[in-house]
Amino acid sequence: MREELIQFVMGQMDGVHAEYPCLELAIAPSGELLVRGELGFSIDHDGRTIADTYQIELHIPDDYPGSPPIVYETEEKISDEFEHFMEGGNLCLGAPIEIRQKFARHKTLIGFIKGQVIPYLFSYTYKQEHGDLPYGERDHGDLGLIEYYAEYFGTSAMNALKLLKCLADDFAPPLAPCPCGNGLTLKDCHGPKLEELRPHYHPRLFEHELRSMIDMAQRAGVQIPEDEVMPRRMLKNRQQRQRKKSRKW
Amino acid sequence: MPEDRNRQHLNQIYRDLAGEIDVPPSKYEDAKAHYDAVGNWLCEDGSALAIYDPVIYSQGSFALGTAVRPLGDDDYDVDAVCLLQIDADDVTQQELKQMVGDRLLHPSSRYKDMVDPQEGGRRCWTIKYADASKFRLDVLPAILDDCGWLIELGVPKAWAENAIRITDRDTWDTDVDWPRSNPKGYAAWFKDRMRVRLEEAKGALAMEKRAEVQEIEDFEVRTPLQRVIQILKRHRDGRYNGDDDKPISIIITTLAAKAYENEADFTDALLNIVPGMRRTIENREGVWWVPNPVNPLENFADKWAEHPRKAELFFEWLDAIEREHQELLTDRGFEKIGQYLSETYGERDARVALAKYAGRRTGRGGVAAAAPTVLVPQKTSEPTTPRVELPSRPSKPWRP
Repeated sequence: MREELIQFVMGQMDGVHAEYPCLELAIAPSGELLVRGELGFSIDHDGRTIADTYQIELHIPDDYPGSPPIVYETEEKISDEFEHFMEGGNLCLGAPIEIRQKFARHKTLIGFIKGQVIPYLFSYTYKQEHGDLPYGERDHGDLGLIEYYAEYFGTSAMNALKLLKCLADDFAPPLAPCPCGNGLTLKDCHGPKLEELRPHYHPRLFEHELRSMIDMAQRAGVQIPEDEVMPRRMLKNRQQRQRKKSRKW
Repeated sequence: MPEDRNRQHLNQIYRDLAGEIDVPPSKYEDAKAHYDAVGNWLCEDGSALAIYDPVIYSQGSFALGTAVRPLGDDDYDVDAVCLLQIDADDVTQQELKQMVGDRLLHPSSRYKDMVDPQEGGRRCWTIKYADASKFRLDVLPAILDDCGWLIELGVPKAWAENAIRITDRDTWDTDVDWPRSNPKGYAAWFKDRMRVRLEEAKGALAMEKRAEVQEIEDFEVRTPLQRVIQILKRHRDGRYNGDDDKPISIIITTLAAKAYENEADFTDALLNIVPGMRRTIENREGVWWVPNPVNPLENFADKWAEHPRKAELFFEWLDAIEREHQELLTDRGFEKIGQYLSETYGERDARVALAKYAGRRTGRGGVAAAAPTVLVPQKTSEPTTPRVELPSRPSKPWRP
């Protein structure tokens, strides 16, 4: 199994080397596979040419290419003040589901490097030179996630949460009315968009994200139509708790 | 000790690498089926050769278990002796060569269009099999030699009595004497050089297969000596590809077998054999000698006198191998093992061996290394900033 993974990654290095010959594949003493070395780019954007190089390290997860690599910048060229890092210090390229979804389209190292790693590094260089990010950044935490989903579904934030409930509950009958409320059935409305996301997360992960976003919204004082937004298991717990409460009374 | 640890790793890697460059047992069986079929055609009823009782047996690397998979698109070269029971007084070299050729090119022969070239080679007839099997079988017409003179020279009788006479188109008009050879005796000598490890390996395989040792064929196992020779040959192929003066297999095989002291580990064997090979080359009054162990009068290195570059390359090659492997035993050297193997033994086989090695290095269980080991090296260290098109909708950086 593991041998097959290693051979698979070795094979993908051919594609990487065609464009980025400075990268190498190594195995760490821990057994982890690393693609590392210098990554350079030159990008024309808004009439400006931005060229830069970074030392990067991609960590290949054991379930690769089921999951995308994890990316580190190893020279600390990117200042901590940039803040777009995960807790482990790896680069936060975008919303987690978005990273998985984009990666799953090709499942290749070169596609990942060009499509996701370089745009991130480019953003940073651009910001250093011009003060702002070339295509913006997401808000931190749950707010950024809601933003992403709203953008992805092309709906309001609340409707995005309602759609996410379908994924968290793993329940999206094609003929049910679409939660976005425009009167169409799911299959003629946001169904395909849901199907596109579904393979990239376990329902429990969607549920986890949804719960966290709901908590955030409630803490901020937003009124939430609980039945339409809360994942089923969250509602159930709530009902049980309420029943217990009423019995005490 | 980093050296001990790296030696252990190197052993594992080379065991897998040698397994990759090896010819699989099925190819040995195919080869045998091919030359047995030729043998049958030569001796079957209606063959003019049948009265001479032709016998076909393999010689060369297929007989020794030291064949390596050809690099790139090359064919497998299988060498076979075609021995006829004729007295040397009753036949000339020309006649012997022609008799075998006539039978192979007979109008009803399935080989008639496969003989390439049709007029035969210098010493043998070459049969080219259809592309898929990628075999080339060299059939060497031969008769038995008298062996008294060999025994007098000190060659054990069991080896000497397999001596043969062969033909040579380049000399048969000018030289009445037949060229001599003894591939069967050589193979017996070679096997004797590694007997301890051969029996050990066959015993181990018999245990594994729950079979009797007698049922295990020699070609089913490999000793460290055979592995070392395979690695040396592939190293040679990579380093001197296409060079006419490159080290030849028979010299490599002879010297390695002489230097082998039945080491059980590959790396130990290699590190002992290579300097041993250098010491084993004799210099007799200014002439380099690598005597044939089953014919002390034959010098495998006879061409070195005329082409001194052959000798130079041989010594240079031994030095390089030794230097490279001393380097690999250091931590700095071992880090670059991926690059070294790919460049030296061919990317395909190096990758498979490295993947197997890396697959065992999962932290727990296997022996851990000190530093990351490069599996696929960078192609250049020159920094590049290639033009990149941004994706149409790049992700916006986020943070939890």
